[in-house]
Amino acid sequence: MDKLSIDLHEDKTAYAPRETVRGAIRWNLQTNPEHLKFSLIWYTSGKGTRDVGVVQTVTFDNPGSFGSRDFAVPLPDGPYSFSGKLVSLIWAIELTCMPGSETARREIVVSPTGSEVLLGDASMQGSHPWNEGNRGHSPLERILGARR
Amino acid sequence: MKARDNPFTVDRISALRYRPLDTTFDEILRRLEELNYRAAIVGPEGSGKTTLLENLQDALAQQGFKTWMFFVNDTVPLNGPACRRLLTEVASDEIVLLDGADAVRRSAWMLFRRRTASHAAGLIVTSHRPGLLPTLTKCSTTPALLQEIVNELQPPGRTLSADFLSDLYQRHAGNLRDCLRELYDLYTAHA
Amino acid sequence: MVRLNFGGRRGGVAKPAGVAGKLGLTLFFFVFFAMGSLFEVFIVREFGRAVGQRSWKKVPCKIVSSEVQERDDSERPFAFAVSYEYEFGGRTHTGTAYKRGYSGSEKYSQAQNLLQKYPVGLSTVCYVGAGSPGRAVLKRDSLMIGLLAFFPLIFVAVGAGGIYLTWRKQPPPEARPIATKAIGVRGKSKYGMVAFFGIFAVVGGVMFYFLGVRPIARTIAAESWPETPCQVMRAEVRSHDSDDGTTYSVYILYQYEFDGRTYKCDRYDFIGGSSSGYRGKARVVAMYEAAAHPVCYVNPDNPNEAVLKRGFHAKLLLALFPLPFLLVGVGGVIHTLRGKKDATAAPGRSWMPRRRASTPADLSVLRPATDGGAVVLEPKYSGAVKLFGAILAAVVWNGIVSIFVFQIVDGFRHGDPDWFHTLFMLPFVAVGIGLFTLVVYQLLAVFNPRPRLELSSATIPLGGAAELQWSFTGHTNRIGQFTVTLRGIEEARYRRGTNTYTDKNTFYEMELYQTSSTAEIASGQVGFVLPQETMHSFEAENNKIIWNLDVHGDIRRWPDVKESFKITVTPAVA
Repeated sequence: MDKLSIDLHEDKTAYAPRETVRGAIRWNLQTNPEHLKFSLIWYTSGKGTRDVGVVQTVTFDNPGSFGSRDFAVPLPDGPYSFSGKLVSLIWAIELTCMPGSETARREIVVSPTGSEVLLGDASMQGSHPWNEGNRGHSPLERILGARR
Repeated sequence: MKARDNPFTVDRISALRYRPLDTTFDEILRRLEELNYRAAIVGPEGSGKTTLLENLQDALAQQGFKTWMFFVNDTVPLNGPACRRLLTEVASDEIVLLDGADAVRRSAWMLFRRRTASHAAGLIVTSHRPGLLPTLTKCSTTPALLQEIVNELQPPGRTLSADFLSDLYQRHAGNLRDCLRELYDLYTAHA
Repeated sequence: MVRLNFGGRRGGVAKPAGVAGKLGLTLFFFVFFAMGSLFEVFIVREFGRAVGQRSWKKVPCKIVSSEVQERDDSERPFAFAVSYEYEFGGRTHTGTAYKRGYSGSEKYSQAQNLLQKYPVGLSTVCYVGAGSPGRAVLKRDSLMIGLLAFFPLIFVAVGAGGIYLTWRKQPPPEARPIATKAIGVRGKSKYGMVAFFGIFAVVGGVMFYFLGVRPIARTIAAESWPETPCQVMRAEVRSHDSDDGTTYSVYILYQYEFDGRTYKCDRYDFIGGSSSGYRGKARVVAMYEAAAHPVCYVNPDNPNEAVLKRGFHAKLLLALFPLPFLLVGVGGVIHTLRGKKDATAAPGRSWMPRRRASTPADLSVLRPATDGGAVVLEPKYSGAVKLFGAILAAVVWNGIVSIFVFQIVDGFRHGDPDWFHTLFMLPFVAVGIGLFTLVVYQLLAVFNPRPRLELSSATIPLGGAAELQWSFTGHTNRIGQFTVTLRGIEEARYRRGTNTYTDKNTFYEMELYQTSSTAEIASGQVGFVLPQETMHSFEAENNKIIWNLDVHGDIRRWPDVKESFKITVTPAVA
């Protein structure tokens, strides 16, 4: 069975901007691939069409059917990993085998605080008017029929 | 709720497979072959035309066809010069997939249809109205389809009531895209 | 697991267009080339003749007789008949030609103007043909026709260029990559766009002058002309045939006395021209034929000039018709010349917003302040530009809607109401009223005081401090309360099928300053610190984090001052 994996040094997944991500990629495939592509990317997820930023990509030609390589990738100063109501930005290291669709991905967090930045909602101030009379159930819970 | 955790994000919706109502995907592929890979997917807004086109692209790639997909919409037009430029790049063994054919200007469309007939392996388009090419299939939606999609997207243990979904479906006149966008807002606001 | 596709275009083998297609295109472009060339030859020939007349000798002459003759010619019933004597080559000659090719005038006033210009006894000059002393004219052909020589050249260029491009060999496709995911219109050259919009502006300007400025100016002047009794000598509806059909005009020739002299004139109103619709014009003619005591209005400074219908009337609204062309042309030229100067983002920061406003959605521009370091925030679109946009929208919309409204009102006036069309037009009229209200709103807003903001730095890091100074030009004492708010907004754009949706959410809001003091509103400053644990500015194709400084000046019973300035918030300093 084909296997691609990405190991992060000391299993560290949270990084500050400009820090270096260190680790190793490993592959054990049934056939010899033409290329292995190692990428540092960020992508968005949410209510908008996905945007993808490829910060760095390295291609290994004729890597053989198995092997491993260490990597050390410096991070830029941004963008931070963040999540709001409409948009989340996620950083990841991805290893792709070509030809084929085999892919391995490890998500990391890039933020000065060690965790993704959370964006609130400036308009959500005060109590929800529809909480009254529902014994604390939110409208979603009422629709779902969930019980506390 | 974080945007990425919302069950109705764009990437989760985009990963859904097309669900034909009165036929099967294999039958659609068979009919496409009968039409010599020149056909139109017809249907109202939010009925799954783009999803079907993308699934067809994957299926054709698995069959060994080369495909080339691009879209046209209100902010990304396809005029005559762009159309002519594209046509010079199409290979004779490629099937062209055009999403939003009825947004193409008539003169550009006539040129496109004529050229791809002799210089491409096929042309599959999406359109709100029939008549551009032989109809491959008519996409349509039902409240049950919406329920099925929502069940697939929602986290386990949670179901939205059928009455609520039926009302949602009616309010958006069967446009599943708008239904799912409203569900995104609902989860964001109240989860 | 979701697999990310970074896109990638599949190339193809270039295929040349078929010969049959090329021949078809060649024929198509040849029509352009041929028509343009024919017109060009005609214009050049006429221009050549006009230039040739410049070599005719200028000779003194004396007007012996001049009068306006009426003829049976229905196209040009009035002719200026003149004879003049001149000496050339030791002999006396008599000339009768006013100018080359002159065969009469459609209107009496046109012939009368010439009569005024060349009265009996006038000593003037004429031009005698070289080598033909018997051939002379009072007025030479105008050289202005030479200016028209440029227009057919456009068709010649389109035709020739199209034929060339049709048969030209295409470069290999590798030299012309096209994105797979998005295909849009390529940008056109700046000067081409200026020429394109310039034509609109010139044509619109000329039409606006003749349909609007001149008749309105004359209408205003005619308000002081004295009312004078007149006699109708001829009244008829004239038809004018063209490729687009037959149009009609009112023609009334009348005679009047002013300061003891008798004059004739045939001006009905200051617009003139012809249009479809026979019945309305027939009613006017019948009215003047039956009028017992018709009156006209005479220009006391030039009694030859008179008019039957003065004052503002619906036909003067034709002045609005060329306005969209003029506004589109002028606006397009200005916009193209101002251009979009995108400063590139810092290396490695392609997701940071550009230094200057680069999209129509951006409402503000940054430019360096005079003292360096600080930047001045100004609204990208001034009140005048917003007013221009509102007027353009209102004029275009209401201009089109008014055509139908006139027809409906005309029907009601003549007892023939069309209720279906009336009800159908109601929503459109409502929109037109809304647009008109917007024009009024923007017009009032033009007189609002304008804010000028100066920020201590073009970019502010998260957790960093900045100082904002403001000042107003205009009547700041009208502002009751002034507020400056810092807002962070996330924006998500979704494109699917043929539609695009954009959602926004304000995730951060901080009121920086609020005051009701007139002095503090007029100018002031405030220091602020950006929050540390939030998101900096971010711009990708579909998703954005935007930081704005919003200024709001509340003015009672008047449009408020509302401006939004985008600022750039960078990641925190390490």
